[in-house]
Amino acid sequence: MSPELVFQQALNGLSFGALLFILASGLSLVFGMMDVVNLAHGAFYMLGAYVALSVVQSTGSFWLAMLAAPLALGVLGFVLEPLLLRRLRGRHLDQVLLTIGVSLVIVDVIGQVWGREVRSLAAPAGLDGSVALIGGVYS
Amino acid sequence: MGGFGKNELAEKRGYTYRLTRRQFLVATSAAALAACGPAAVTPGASPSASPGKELKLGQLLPFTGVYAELGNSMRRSTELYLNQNGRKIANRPVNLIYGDDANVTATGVQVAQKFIDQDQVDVMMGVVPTPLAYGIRNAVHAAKLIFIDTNAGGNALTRDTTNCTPSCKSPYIFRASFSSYQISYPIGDYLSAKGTKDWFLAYANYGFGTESAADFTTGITKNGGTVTGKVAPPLSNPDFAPFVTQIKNQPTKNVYSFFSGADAIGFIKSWNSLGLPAAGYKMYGAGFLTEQDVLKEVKDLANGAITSLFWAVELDNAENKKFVADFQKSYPLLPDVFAVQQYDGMRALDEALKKLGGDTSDKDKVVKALEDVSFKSPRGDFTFDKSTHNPIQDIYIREVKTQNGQTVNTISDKIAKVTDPGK
Repeated sequence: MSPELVFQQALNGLSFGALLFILASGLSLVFGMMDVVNLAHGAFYMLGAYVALSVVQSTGSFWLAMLAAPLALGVLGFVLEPLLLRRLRGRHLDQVLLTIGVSLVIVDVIGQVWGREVRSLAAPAGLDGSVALIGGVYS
Repeated sequence: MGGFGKNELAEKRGYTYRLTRRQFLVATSAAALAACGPAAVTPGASPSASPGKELKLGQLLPFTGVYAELGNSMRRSTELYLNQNGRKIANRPVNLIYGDDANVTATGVQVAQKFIDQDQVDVMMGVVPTPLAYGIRNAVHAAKLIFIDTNAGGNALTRDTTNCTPSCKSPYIFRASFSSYQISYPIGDYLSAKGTKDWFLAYANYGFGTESAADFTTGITKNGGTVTGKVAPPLSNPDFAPFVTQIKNQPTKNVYSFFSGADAIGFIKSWNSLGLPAAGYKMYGAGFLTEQDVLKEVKDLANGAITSLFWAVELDNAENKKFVADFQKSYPLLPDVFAVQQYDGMRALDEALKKLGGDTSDKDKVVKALEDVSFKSPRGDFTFDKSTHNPIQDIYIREVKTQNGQTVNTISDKIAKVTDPGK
């Protein structure tokens, strides 16, 4: 295995790790600040991506989607917290049960609204290129 | 998370997890009854059907899970076929029973068992994942249930194998789709005969992926070709950059790949963002790599890819043009290869039962009639191989091109009448 390959794979690992870190830090933040075990965190994240997809498809603007998706999910959070989670303050096991249920609902709603096939978003201009680094192209 | 001790939790809520004696008796006797159920029904003893009587058709498909879109597509073409034929097959009104396997083998086996014991279907169709097809093979064979496989492509389902492991052919099992041999061996043979000898393999590391890679390897070695290396990401791999990086760090420029659906999209996107086309690498693959579901997302990124399959939406024959047009009249989308497989399965059943006047009571006669079926399908001439019950079909070599803003598979060549070797 050449040193270039090791270096490139280390970068690949780092970028994928950074993505997982962003996701996990949200989960940890909600637990730390709100004392809520939110197992629907991943489903919220996914819903955000689909909202972004719809915004890009209707307006063509990636940056608008970047703004709209967190706002939409924030609104959903504001609705769900008093409606469901506030009743279970401090009861972690019950929160687990409730939020797993919420995640199942979100996943199936997404299946109904956006379908179950794979969708993807093109990276916006400026971020869609690749960078040459020490003997290899890196995207 | 606190308070996980279960007794503590149960006490807090004021109940324990003990069963009362009555609950215990109800539960165990229900379980015992359920266990007796299958034995209480004689296999294959569905009441003899006379023409005009309702035909029970079980469809074992995934409507949830990763293959849900395949199931939906196959349901669409089932409904299309029935609507075109007055909801009848061989003059018998069709009672369609859909069962969802959710891409879980155990669930699918249960649904198949329900089709056999409870619904007593006359014919079963469907089955997307190969492990499920292998899993129900023995039950179907024992019950003498006519089963037309409309997707699962594992070679063993229509072959003689030692001790029937992992599966083997049955007189009652027909396949209207393909065997993985047919997708991968002919293109390997074809490309190496044309002079492309060195190959690097990239394939999803699961049964069907490894089987296709092996068949492709057999095809190229026949003409003196060699495999210089391989990379096998797991199925449903989230990030292809590490694997495509490995491809770029080796010198063999011809890459044969087996990916489909989400994996194919991820692979093609990484392939481009890491600059493999500019570095002279060329993409080849089994046809699923560049089917409509993938091209819709990757568009011209797949241009130049050469793949093989027994059908393409652009295929130029009268039956295909009619099929594509009819499909689009009923649904706001293009048909895919899964829709074609299911449509041909329905057609084959219809043709066979018409010869018997719709009578499905004698299973051996139905088998004989299916073996003799021959018709023009959207994919070309369609017949079953009498010794394996796998279709004999033409394999098309296709190249991805963007024409008038549409990215399509253009047909560049045809390998006629490919038959699975059956061994």
